[in-house]
Amino acid sequence: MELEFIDRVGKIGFFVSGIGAFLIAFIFGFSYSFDFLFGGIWASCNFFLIRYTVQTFFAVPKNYVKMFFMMSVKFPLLYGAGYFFLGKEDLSVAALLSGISLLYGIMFVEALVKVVRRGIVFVLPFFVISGLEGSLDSDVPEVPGLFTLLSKIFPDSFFALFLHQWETIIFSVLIGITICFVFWFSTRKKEIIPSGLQNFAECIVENLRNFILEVLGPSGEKFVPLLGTLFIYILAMNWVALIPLVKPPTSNLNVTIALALCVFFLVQYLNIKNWGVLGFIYHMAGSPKDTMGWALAPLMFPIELLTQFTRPLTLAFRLFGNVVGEDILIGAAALFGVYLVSIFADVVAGFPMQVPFMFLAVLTGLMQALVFTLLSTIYILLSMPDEEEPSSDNG
Amino acid sequence: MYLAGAILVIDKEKQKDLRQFGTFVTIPFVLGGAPVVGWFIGSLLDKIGDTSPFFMYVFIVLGFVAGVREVYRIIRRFGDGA
Repeated sequence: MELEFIDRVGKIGFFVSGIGAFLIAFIFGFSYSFDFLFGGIWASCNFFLIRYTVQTFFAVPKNYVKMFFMMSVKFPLLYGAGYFFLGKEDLSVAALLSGISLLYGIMFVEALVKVVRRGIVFVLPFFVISGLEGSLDSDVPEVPGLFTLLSKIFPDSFFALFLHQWETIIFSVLIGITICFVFWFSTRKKEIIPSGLQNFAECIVENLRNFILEVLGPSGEKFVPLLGTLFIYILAMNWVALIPLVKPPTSNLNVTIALALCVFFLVQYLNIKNWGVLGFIYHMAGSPKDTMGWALAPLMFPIELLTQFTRPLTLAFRLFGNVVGEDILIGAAALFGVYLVSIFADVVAGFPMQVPFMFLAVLTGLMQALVFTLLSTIYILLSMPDEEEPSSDNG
Repeated sequence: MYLAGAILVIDKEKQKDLRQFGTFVTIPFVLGGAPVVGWFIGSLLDKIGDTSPFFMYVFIVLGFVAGVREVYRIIRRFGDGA
């Protein structure tokens, strides 16, 4: 995405939230207008800060002070302001959310203008899907899966309830089987010059292998199957969120924790295998070599212990949080689309407001799968004895 | 899935950018997660030893140090556009 686009959306965001707040103050009152304005400005600031943070990180001469400054402004200050504002007594959630969503609306319109200019009208089929997804009420506007829907239609049926309870497991197993089938099917007739599905499968496997070996070095060959499978499996589980009526299994914390625990136990096994039990304890104490090191060892040990336990937690929560957030965002946008239509007509259909978020979901789904794999690779690398000197600067 | 293949073969620079960005997104989780684990372990020790709230505070601080240390490791490994 070009930077001008981002800047323009942010600026329009400030402008429109100001005008919107002014209008709302006339129609609904000052309190709503204030909530709306805060939401709009908060979202625009967030947007700008993300843009500058990313730019700072990718700037060619690295400026670590600026990086630290951006991170400390972006996360504690911005989110702190949001947190305190949420504690406001007469907070109107609808006004606040409208303010925050305003920016996405602008982004959507801007993007739509670009797309329509290029002559592609792709939005229409989403009207029906949007209506289906949004017309269901639940406590959290999460997009319901097929089995949740069944359990709502047949609340007395034991079978529907059973399916609803096992929804995540069923979908994750189905996804696993589908992946196995696709890869089995693509390598059924092996050809020297691959084409079609075989080409696609080889492309994925080869790139994943290069990606992992770049970090781990040649000794990482034996971890390629595990890490590659993790990537493909997580990616597929994230992306099924885009298929209507399919619930992404990674939006359930149990699944992500299970995946993270697999990596955790593997890394601990490798630690003990590579260093031995005593060597591992010595390593956990910060590998002390002199008196100072030994004096600090009792402090280093709990710190390293905490680090080890934090890793699976971070892996699991980041993946879960991002996927469930995307899911709720899509659900809320779909509901909003239905609400918009219901103003004009009494039909079960909705404006496809969730489409821009679905594009976002494609990106975050890929990134989360990539980060999960990458961090698992790093943890495996750190469990290898030559941790102090990484095998290559590429890692 | 075809898109995954397409994205994996995009040029190395873009792939690195994506990787780097993704890894930095993990920093707030590491900073936040470590004190939480510390709090959990500390509370557990407090329950066992009946020393509430001593261990809880100690481990929250240790957790924060561990988080910063881990962030330092991540930045050291990925800060230079690795």
